[in-house]
Amino acid sequence: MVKKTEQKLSVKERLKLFYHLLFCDPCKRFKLQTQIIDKSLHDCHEHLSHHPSEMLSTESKEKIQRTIDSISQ
Amino acid sequence: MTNILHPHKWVHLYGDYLFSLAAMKTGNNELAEDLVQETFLSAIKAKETFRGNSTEKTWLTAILKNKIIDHYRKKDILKSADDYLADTQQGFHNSFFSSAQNDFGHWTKEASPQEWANETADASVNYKEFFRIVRSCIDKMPSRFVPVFLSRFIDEEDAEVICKEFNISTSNYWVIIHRAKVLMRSCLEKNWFVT
Repeated sequence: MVKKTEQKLSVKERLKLFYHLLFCDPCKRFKLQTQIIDKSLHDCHEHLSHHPSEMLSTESKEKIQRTIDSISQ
Repeated sequence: MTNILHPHKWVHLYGDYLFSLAAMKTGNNELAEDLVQETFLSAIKAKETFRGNSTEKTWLTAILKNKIIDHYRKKDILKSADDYLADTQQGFHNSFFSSAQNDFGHWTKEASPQEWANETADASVNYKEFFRIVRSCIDKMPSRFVPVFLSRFIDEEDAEVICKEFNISTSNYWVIIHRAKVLMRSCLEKNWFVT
């Protein structure tokens, strides 16, 4: 199933997976839930740029800024 | 789009974003801070190469991404991946699946994916908190899986590129991606999604 998200399966593999999924409810949930997670991670850069999960301290920001200023002049 | 850079605004505009990304990818705030600073310095040194066909933010993100890949490559974290994956195969399998009756095996009762009550509540997701949980789940993952997981799911590199970058075989790549996905889903189910 993980392989199917990234590359084409053979006909035999596809049929096997199809029949397995018909009868395996946890597998159906795994498939759906990993799609949700993939999507959230796919949007990670976008989300983190609007809602950073961590903040640099004011001192660190000033220190980095000073270093930038000293070499970019 | 313009190819003029504004280094004096970088810390203000991108500091927290790049720091969050680096902290999530390395699990180490001190290192993350150093990498952000190095990213800015490398960018200034390479400013002639900025052509303005991507945004300043995308360009800085790409520089940081390469620094993090270098960090993991220097640690040579994927050496003897074959032995490691073979040695841990049974333990991993037993944590999630009962003895295989076919190629797929069966989920154990405890590890079986549960219904999530909030799986479609995307709009109400608190992303700040969500990515803190993602970071803690990455921290819990076996360290050898981390660079491959990040390249695939955060940076969305192709399998071929990842295998080359970390010098691993395609079959090891699949094993790592499979295990990392199972572990990440399970960790998020326990710590984020309501069952």
